[in-house]
Amino acid sequence: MSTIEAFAESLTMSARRFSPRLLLSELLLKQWFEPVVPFTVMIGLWLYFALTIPDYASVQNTLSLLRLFAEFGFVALAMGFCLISGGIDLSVGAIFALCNFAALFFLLVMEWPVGLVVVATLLVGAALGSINGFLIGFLKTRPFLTTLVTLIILRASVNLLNTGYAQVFATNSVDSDAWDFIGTGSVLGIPVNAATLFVVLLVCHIFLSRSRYGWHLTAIGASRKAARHAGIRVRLMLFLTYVLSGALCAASGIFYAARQASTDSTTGVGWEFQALTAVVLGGISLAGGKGTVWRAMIGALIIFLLINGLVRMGIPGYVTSAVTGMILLAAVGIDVKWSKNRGKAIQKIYVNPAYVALAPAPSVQPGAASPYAQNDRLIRAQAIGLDRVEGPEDVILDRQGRVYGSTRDGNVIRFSGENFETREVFAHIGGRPLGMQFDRDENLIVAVAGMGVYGIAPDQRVFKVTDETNRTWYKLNDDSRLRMADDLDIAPDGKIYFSDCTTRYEMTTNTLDILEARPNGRVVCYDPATRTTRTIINHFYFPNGVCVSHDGKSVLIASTSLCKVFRYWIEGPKKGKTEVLIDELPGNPDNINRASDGTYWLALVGIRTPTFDLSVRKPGFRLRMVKQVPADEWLAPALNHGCVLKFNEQGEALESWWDPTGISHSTLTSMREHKGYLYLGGLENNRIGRIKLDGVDESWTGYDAYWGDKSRVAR
Amino acid sequence: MRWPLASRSVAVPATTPRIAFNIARPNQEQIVLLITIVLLIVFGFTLNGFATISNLLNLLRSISILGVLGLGMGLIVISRGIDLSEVATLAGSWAIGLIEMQRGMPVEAAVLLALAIALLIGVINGVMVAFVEAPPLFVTLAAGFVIYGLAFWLAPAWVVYAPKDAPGLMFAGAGRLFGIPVPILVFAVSAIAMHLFLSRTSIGRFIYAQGDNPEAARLTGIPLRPLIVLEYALVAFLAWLAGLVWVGTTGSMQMAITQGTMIFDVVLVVVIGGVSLIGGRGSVFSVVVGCVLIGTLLNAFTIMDVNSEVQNIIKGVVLLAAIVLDNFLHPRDEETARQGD
Amino acid sequence: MNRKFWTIAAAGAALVALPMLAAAQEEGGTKTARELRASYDKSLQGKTVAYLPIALGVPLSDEWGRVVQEEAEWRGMKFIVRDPNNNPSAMQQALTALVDQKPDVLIVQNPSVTLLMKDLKRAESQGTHVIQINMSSNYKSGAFVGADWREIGKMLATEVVKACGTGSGKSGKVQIVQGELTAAASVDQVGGIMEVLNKDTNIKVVSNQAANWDANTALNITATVIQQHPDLCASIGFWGIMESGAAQAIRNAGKIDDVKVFASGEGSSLDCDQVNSGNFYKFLSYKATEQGHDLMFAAETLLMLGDKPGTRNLEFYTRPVWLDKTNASGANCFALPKKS
Repeated sequence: MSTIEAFAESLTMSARRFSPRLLLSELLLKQWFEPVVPFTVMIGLWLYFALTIPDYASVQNTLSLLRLFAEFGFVALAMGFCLISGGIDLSVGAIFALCNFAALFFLLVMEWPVGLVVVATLLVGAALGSINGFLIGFLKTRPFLTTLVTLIILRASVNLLNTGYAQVFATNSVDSDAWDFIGTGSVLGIPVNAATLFVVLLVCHIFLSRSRYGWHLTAIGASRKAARHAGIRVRLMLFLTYVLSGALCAASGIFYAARQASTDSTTGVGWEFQALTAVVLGGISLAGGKGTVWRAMIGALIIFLLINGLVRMGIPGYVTSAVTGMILLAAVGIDVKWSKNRGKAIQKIYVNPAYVALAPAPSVQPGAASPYAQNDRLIRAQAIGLDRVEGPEDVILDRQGRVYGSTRDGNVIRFSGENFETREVFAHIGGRPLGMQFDRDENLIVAVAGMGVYGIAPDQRVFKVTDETNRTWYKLNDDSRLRMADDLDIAPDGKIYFSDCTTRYEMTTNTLDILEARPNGRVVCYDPATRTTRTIINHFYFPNGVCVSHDGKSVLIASTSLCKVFRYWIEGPKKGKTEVLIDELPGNPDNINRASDGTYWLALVGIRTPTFDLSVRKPGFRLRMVKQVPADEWLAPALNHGCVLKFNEQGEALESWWDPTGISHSTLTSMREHKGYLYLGGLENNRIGRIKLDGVDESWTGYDAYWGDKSRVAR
Repeated sequence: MRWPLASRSVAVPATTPRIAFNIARPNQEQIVLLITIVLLIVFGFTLNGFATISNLLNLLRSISILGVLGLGMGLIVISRGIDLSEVATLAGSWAIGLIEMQRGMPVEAAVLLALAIALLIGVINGVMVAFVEAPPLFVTLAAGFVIYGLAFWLAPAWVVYAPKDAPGLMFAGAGRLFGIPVPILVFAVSAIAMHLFLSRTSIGRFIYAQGDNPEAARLTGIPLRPLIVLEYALVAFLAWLAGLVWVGTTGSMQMAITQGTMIFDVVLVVVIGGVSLIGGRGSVFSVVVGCVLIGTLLNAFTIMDVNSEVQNIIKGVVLLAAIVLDNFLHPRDEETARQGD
Repeated sequence: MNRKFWTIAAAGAALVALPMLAAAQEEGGTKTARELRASYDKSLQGKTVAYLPIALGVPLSDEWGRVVQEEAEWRGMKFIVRDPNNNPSAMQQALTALVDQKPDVLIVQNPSVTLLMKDLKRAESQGTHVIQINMSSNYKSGAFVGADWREIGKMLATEVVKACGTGSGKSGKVQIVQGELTAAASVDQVGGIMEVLNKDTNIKVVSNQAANWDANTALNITATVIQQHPDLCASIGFWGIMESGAAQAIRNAGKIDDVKVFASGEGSSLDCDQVNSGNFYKFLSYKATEQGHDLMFAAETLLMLGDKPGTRNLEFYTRPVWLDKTNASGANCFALPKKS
C-alpha cells in the first residue's frame, strides 16, 4: 500500500516537474532552434507534396530529388559563405556554367583523364573566384557591383565558348567508368553528388563553427572594422572566401557536367538569385556575420522543393510563380517577426514556478522552548571592516587568524592585525566569489558564481580549479558550464564538493530560481587526482551550503528552496545515497560549517512566513507575481533577520543566535568558528561580524579541524 | 502624418552632394562621366554617323525608359532599399491596363487603372519592408514573382497590344515635341523633378538621412515607416511612367520582360553612377551619367554591329574598369567604411 | 379514309423499317468499321500523353498543347502537362519526374540540343515514346515534329533577295534581328539566310544582332539601324512578337512603307494582325496548329506501330506558308486561348 502511495507520489511529483512551458522556453533558447520557421516550412512543403503527388515519398523519388538538388546545394553554399563574410557573390551561376563548360572541355576536347579533369575544373573555379576575391578583398571594391559585372562578363564568355564548342561536345563522348560514377553513381545508395555535398557540408560546418578561420570569417561579416582591429587578416580572408565560393561552384559544375553532359545558354541562368533567395530564406543575414551552412541548405531545399513540386503538380507557370512568391513572402515575414519576438517570448515563458509543499515550520517565538526561539544574541556582535567590505557571502580564517571575506566586486578581502584594522585585497578573481575553504596546502579554494571553482595560492596567485562538469545528455539546456558555484568543502581525500545552485538562472536572477522552486541545481565533485569534474547529484532544489562531515564520510547539503538539510554519503555502506538530515527548518538555509564541538553551524538567509509557505504551494500565484509585479515587491521570506544555529550529527537543532533587528546582521549567509569566536558573513552586509562564544575549545581552528590535529576523521 | 511638402527648409544642413568637379579627387559619378565623354569623343571621330544630332537623340531616346526606371531605383537605393520588382510592376500594371482597353475600357480609365495597380504594388512592397521589416531585396524579389503570376492570370496573353486608335497613349512613347522625342523629355522632366525632390524638399533630405543611418533618422523624429511606404510608391509610380513610355514606343506590353535581365541593367546604371547600395550616397546626376554611359556603349555597339555576347564582355570590362578606377582614386578607408557596402 | 390511313401507316412503317433494313444489309461493312475502331481504341484508349514545353503562356506552346489535349481526349487518352515556366532546371526536374511516371508518349520541347538528352534516352529505354518538337536534341528519339529552320531561313532570304536583290533597284541593305545568339533555331535560320543572301552581290547585311526574343530590344536596335541606314531595304526577324518591335521602330521613323519587314513565326492572330496593319510585309508561318496535329499523328503512329520505343526515328516536317494581306486571316491565323 505504502509503496503504491509512494509510487503515486513520485508520479505526481514528476508530472509536476515536467512542464511544456519549461521545455519550450529552453527550446527557444537553443541556437539551433533559430531557423525553426524555415525548417517547418521545409518539412511542411515536403509533407504537402508527399500527400498530393503520388510516389513522392518513395525512396526512389527521394534519391532522384537528391541527385537533382545537389548541384544547386553547392551553389547555395557558395552564396551562403559570401553572405556570412558580409559580401555577396552574384556570379555563382555564371561560374557554375563556366566550370561545367570547362569540365566538358577538358574531358572531351583535351581528353584528359577524369582525375585531372576534376582537379583542373576545381582550379578553374578557384581562379574565377580569385578574380572576384582579388577585386573585393585586395582592391576593396564593392561585392554587389563587382560580382554583378563579373556575372555579365562570365555569362557572355560561356555563351561565346558554347557556340564554338557545342558541336564538338555533341559529337564526342568518352567511355569512362569514373566519369559515369561522378554522374550517376551512388555511395551507400545515396547519389554520389548528394553524398559529396553532405560531406562538404559537414566539413564546412566544422570549419565555420569550430575553426579559427571560420570564426574570423563570421567576425569580418559581423563587423569588418572590429575584425581588422582584432588583427584578423580581413583582405586575405575575403579573398579566400570568394576563392572557396568559386571552388564550390566548380564542384557543382563537375557533377552537372558528368550527369547532364550538356552546356548551353540556359545552364545556371538565374541561379544567383535563386541561391540568394534560398540562403536569405534559410536565415543567413544579408548584413553578414550570421548564418550556418545548414541554414543555407534549409533555404535551398525550400526553393528546390517548392519549384520542383509545383511544376510536377502540373500547375501553370504563372500560378507557380505567384504561389512561390507568396510562400516566400509569407515565410520571410513570419521569420522576421519570429526572430524579432523570440527573445520576448522566452522572457514571457522562461520562469515556471512549481508546486512544493514545505514541511511544517517550527516555531521561532521568542521565549518558546524551541531551540529556534528568537533571541538577540547577535546584536552586540563586533564589526570588522565596517563599510569596507561589500557583501561578504562567506568568511574564513587562516592559521594566522586573518579574516577573509568574499565580496560582490569579485575580490577576496583580507583583514589582519590586532583588531582586523588592516584591509587588503587578497586576490581579484572576478565573478561573484561565494563559499571558501582552505585545502591542505593552504590554498584558498573559492566557489565563484558565474565562473566556477578557483583557487588562490598563499602567494595570492589565482588559478582555476574547474569551470565545467559533465553535461546531462537529455537536457536541452547546456548544463556543462558551472553557472553559479555557491559553496564548497573539501573531503579528506582532497575531493572538492561544491554546489551549483542553479542551471537556469544567473547570480543576479537567482531569486527567480527560488521562486520557481524547481530542482535546477546540482552537487558537483572535483577530483584533483584525476582532474575531473562530475555531477554527483543532479536535480537538486537550490543546493547552497556544503560541508563535509567531521568524520569525512558524508557531505551535508543545505537546500535553500526546500528549507531542509540533506546528507550525502561519500563513504561507507550508504555511499552514493542521499537522505534528509533536517526536515523542518524555520528558514532558508545557507552555508554550513563545522563547529569546534563536533557539531555544525548553519546560517539561515531568510525566515519562513506562513504567506511565503502558502505561496510555495501556489505556482500560479508566483507566476503572476513574477509577471505582473516589479521585482522589488515580490513576496520573499523575511530577510531582515539574522540567524545562525547549531545542529548535531543527528540533525537536531541545539541552539540559535539571532539579530532580530536586522540592522547589523541581516541575511546571514555564513559563519565560521575560530579560536572561541564566531565570525559572521552576510550576502548584503557591509561588515563581518564577530562574537565571543562561551565554553568552546579556544584553540580550535578550521584549518586544524580539516587538516590538522583537531580533525575527527578516523584514521 | 503631416508632410512638409516642398518646404524650403534651411534648418537641415545640405546633405545632397554638390556637383562640383574636383580635379584631384573626382568621385565615382565624375569618373563615369569622364569615361562617357571620352567614349563619346572616340566614337564621334571613329564611327560614321555617330556624332549626328539624330543619332544622339536616338541614343537618349533608347535609354529614357531605363533612365526613368533608374530614377526610381536610385531613389530607393539612396534610402538603403532596393526594388527588384520594378520591371514586373511596369509590365504587370500595363499588361492589365492594356487588356482592359482591349476589353472595352476607355483608354483614360485603363491608364488610371494601371497607375492604381502600380501604386498598390508599391504600397504593398513598402508595407512589407516598413512594417513587416522583411529585407527589401527579398521582398521585392518575391513580389516580382507574385506580380508576374497575378498579372498573367488577369491578363492571359504573352503580348498585349495597345489599341490602334489611342494617339494620346502613344504620345509619350512615339511623339515629338519641338523635334525632340517625347521619351527624352519624360526622362528629363522626371530627372529634374526627382533632383528637386531629393535636394530641395524636407522629404528628400529625410530620404538621404534614412539611407545614411536609419536608426538615427528614426530617433530624430522622421516617421520612417510611412516614409518607406512613400518611397516604394514613388518607385512604382516611376515604373508606371516608364511603362507609359514603353507602351507608346512599342505599342505593346510583354510580360516576359519580367523574367529577363532588364532589372540587372536598371540596378547597374544606378550603382555604376555612384549611388551606393549602402544608402545615402549619390544623386540623380549619378543615374543620368550611368544611363548615358550604358546608352553610349549600346548605341556604338549597334552601329558597329557587334555580337551581343561580345558587347556584354566589353560592357563588363568597361564597368569593371570604372569600378577599379574609382577604388584606385578612393581607396576604401577601413575606419569609416560602412558595413555591407 | 381507310385507305388513306393505311397508306400513311404503311409509309410510316416503311420509314421506320428502312434504316433497320439498311442496317441489316450493311452489317458486314459496319462490322469492319467497328473492328477498326476497336483496334484503334485498343492501341490508344487509356494511354497517357505527357506534354512538357519550355513554358506555357506562349502562343506557340499553348497552341500545341491545346490541339494535343483536344485530340488526345477525344481518343480517350489521358493528357498531362507540366509548365517549367522558362526555368531550365525546373524543366529538367519535371522531365525526370515525368520519366519516372512512365507515360506512354512524351512530347518535349527542347531548350537546347543537349540539356534533356540523357533523360530522353532514359525515357525510351524504359518504354516511353518520345516525340521532340521544334528542335531535336542530339538524341534522335521516336519522332520529331517541327519546321526545318534552315529551310525557313532560306525561304525568308529568297523573298528578301526578290525584294532587295540585284535588279530591284533598292539599296540592298538588310537587317537581321536574331532571337538568342546561341539558340539552335537562331543559328540555323541565320545559316540558311546567309547561304542565300551571300549569293546576291547587291545584298549587304548591315546589322545582325540578337534581341533575345524581346520586342523592346529589337526596337532599340532597329531604331539605331534605321537612323544609320535610312535607306534600309528589309528587316528580317526570327519571331513575330519580337520583330513587331523592329517594325514599330521603323514605323516610328516613318519608314514603314519603304522598309520591308519579314518575320517567321507560329502564325497566331497576333502575327496576322501585324501583317494586316502593314507592319509586316510578309510573314512566314510554320503553323503551330498543324504542328499540334502532327504531334498527335506522331503519337498515334508510334502507339499503333507497337514497336519498342527507341527503335524508330520518324520525322514530321512542317510546310511553312507565306502570309501577307491577302491570306492573313481565318484558318491561317490561330486564335489565342481565352482564359477566364
